[in-house]
Amino acid sequence: MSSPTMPSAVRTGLRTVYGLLLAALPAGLADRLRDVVSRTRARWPGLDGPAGGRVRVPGPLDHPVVLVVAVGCDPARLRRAVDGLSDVPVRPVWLVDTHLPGDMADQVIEWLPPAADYTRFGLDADALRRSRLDAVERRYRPKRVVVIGPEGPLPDPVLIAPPPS
Amino acid sequence: MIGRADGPRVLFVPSNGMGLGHMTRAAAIARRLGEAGAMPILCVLSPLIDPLRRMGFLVEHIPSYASTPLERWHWQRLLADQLRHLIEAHDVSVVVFDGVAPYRGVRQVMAEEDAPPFAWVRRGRWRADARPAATAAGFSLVIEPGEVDGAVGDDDATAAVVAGSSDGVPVRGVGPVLLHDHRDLRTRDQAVADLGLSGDQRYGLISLGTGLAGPLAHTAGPLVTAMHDRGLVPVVAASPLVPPPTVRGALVRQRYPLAPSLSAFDVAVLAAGYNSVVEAVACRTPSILVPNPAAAVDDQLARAAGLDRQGLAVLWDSTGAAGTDGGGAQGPEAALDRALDEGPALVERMTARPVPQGARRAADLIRGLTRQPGREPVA
Repeated sequence: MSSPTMPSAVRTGLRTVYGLLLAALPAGLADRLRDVVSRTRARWPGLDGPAGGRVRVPGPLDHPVVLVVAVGCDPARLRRAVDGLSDVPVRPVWLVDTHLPGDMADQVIEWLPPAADYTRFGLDADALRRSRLDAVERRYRPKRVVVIGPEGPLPDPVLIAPPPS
Repeated sequence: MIGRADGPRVLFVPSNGMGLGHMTRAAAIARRLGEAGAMPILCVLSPLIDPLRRMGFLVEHIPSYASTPLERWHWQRLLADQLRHLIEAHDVSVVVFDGVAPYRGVRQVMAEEDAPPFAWVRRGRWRADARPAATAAGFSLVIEPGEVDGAVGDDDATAAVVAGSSDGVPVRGVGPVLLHDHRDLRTRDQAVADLGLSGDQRYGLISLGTGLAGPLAHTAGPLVTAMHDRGLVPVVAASPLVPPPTVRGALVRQRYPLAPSLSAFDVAVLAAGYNSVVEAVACRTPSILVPNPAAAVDDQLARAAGLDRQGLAVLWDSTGAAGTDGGGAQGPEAALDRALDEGPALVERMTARPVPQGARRAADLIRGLTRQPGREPVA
């Protein structure tokens, strides 16, 4: 199924008209219109705009995105690392492979399986993890990548903040 | 270890954020695919990763919208991008989505020229007032897991049941989808020990799912009191995804999956969601079913009322929506008395109604898609 696309200006205009119509129509008709539109968008997702492109990390745009590869870090160490960067003018993305903390919804955290999970199925763990790291880098386009492990010093806030460009 | 790396790779994308239902159904079908020589990969949106890894699954993860600070638009991009990456990195033959409405990110990847076939596991029994289902266009197959009261589904593999079609996509009904087979179930002694309970007490289970912290929160206190009054120790089953709740007078257990240990309980009070209900009937646990009024799509009241009518469970409609005939006027005491008094008869009727394992049939249908050259709807 190929999906037609639509220029961004047309999309914006249609959204405005759609909003006005929803507000003006009686409830029954508005519901019907909403259903038609939702079915159309579901059938041709390309109408909603491009599916690719960079994923924007929330925060001030002048704060660079930093990818912190925190492999092997337990949640407590991850928490210390997150706290250590809280006052640094960066927008961090965390890549972890241990137990996911459930209380960090304010952080962008991606999880990848531990290498042992791949190897026990006979899969090439190195290649899969490398390709995942590449995918995450393409997704967020960080200015800097920092790797921390289960032990040792956490990222130095002074070093991690890229110099102003 | 579930699956073989040299088998066809099937990527499951259940829509869970905080609930467990979609993920449990996906795991049930994935398990049977693995047993049949395929390589299932569970890509969960929930942080509940470790229990699935311990079961032997290869687990991947995409953060749910609620668990990230991303704007919705960018979260959909993340979903689509990660999905594309996993399809390519694992050379996936089929993608299986389980959820009420496929995310835009899923639809966008599905619409791409080089995408593999997508199947949609779509639970039936929608509320009459639910908004129309999203279109199935773009999928190759829709699979509807059956209900234990026989209203939906058919496990007859020879019939290759076509329950209908949706936007030109065939809909196949299967029997109730269960994560566990009978051989996985524990004896009462094993179950009591597994849950860290003492063998010389009688226990009542209170498992209200996401309703425990929401619209069914008001039921927990009266249920605890009513159980104590009847000599039962109440045990509250809480989601492992949230900090353990404090329920005065009750023990709390965060166990996933809980179904194999249901034999520990003399009676269970369950939110009337799909998985809880089919598990309770399959495990022959005398149950009181409490519809969650916040379930916007799933018709829990109809499910619970249907089983009550067939003598397979007791309906307690805590909101009174079913009226006096449907258990709406009862309190928890009356429902508990009924379930305990009728317990042997409930068990007898459940024993006479064996629950077929629909997960195996669903796995067969998906396996069939892996052999299909294109991604057009199956004939």
